[in-house]
Amino acid sequence: MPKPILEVRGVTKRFGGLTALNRVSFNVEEGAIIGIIGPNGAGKTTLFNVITGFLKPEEGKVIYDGHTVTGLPPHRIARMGVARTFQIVKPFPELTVEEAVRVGAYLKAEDEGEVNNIVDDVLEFVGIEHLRDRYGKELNLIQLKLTEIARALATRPRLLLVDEAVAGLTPGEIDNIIEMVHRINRERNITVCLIEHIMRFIMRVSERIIVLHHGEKIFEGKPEEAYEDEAVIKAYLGERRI
Amino acid sequence: MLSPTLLLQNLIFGVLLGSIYALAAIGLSLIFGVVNLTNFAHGDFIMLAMYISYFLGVSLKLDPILTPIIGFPVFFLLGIAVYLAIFHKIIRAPPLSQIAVTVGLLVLLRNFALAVWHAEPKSIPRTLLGYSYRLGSILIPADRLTGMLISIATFLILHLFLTKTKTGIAMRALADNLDSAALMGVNVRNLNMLTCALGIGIVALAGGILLTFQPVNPMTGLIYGLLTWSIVAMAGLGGVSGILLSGIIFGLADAFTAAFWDPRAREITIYILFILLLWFRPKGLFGRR
Repeated sequence: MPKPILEVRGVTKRFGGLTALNRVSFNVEEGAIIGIIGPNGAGKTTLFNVITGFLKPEEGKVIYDGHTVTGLPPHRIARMGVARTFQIVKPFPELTVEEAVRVGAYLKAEDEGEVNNIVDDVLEFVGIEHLRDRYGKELNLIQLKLTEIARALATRPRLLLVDEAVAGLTPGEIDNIIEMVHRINRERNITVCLIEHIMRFIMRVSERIIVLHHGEKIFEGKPEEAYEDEAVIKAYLGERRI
Repeated sequence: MLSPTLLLQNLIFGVLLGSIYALAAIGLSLIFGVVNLTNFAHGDFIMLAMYISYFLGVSLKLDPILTPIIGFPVFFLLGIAVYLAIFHKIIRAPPLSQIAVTVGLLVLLRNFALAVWHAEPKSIPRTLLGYSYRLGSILIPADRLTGMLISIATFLILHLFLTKTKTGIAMRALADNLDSAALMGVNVRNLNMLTCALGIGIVALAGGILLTFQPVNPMTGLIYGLLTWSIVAMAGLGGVSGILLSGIIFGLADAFTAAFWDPRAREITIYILFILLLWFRPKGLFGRR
């Protein structure tokens, strides 16, 4: 079994009286694509916020590549190789696409030449070379999402966290994203963690899924098995009445 | 009375004055845009910079136009100190709390000046630039011309810094979206600190230039606070060129009020411009938010 790149151990995060994550534990193997699903308010985005350093959990820890990263500031975790995209895009309206990607490329590149190479490479990989000189405020949703992926890849991550990449996209655009997630995983050897609402999407990309409900992990396993799991059905469809 | 010469003369005065006002406002714009901090004490930093110029001019017999050579590094460090001691603790606070804290800072600075330099206005007569160039019947004061050149040079350097360097692009990314910037490895705290150091540092340049043609008293911060906030509001958030243009608009308003109405009425004009602006274009003329 390959060694885990990410270990989440007994993480609990509370907001006042609300427990957003309750002793959540799981491992992500290097090279995998895993999906994290769950109804609204299940704690998915909170989990990403804990992993990337935006929130500090009350209990438990996050271990990335053998190092405990809980409590480190986001830029340190980014430097270690964790990248992320947001559910609701967080663009740079006053930066061109090229400049936005440059910010990420500066993280690991040694000199300007390498920065230029990374920027060219990433823009081509994501297929937005033609948008290079456009400002963030001029882009539509799919272009913004692709720019976020390009920005994340420019930091040369080993682990990419993707938060609801396909919300609001057309079926054609969703296919485009699915293909890209596979290419990121295979061609760039990047481990991918996806948060998703849409079951059909997650089925097509991940080998293993984790289901969260009210902050607790209620299922972990193959996607097709999730369809038959009592707890998952209950969480998604409600209690069966007899 | 509306002779073409007088119009042209005040047009030139306005542009000269405006570019210096813009230099005084750019630090406020940087701190507001990048650090996301509503700093009501900015005018009083300008007042303090003018006093520091005065102090250096008197004690070291320096020409005020040269005082920023010492003033800039001092204010750069002051920016770091103020960031670490005060601003850092309120960057995530709501604007009202930021206003309350920076108004406290304003009162502190104002009373510090009052205690050290007393209430009567201070000025430096000994500038080497106390002469004017003459083009026909038009006068171009050398102090203000030098000020404009320094201002334009500073804006040019800032523009290149913000568009061509790693740190500059990261600063703009931070201004646009803090979370995204942090995720891409931008050290938010250090960059905020640098922005404050730069923003307050540039105030020292403006203070030195202003003192060549205007006296300073402990209440000077009042007029410059209002003026610089109005400039920033008119420019909106965005590039540095917006601040330069907006500064020049206020400079022109200032010059024409002084020439055709009353020099003491300049604050009224600034207020009226500011209110009209908030009324019709709250995003600013060149900005996005």
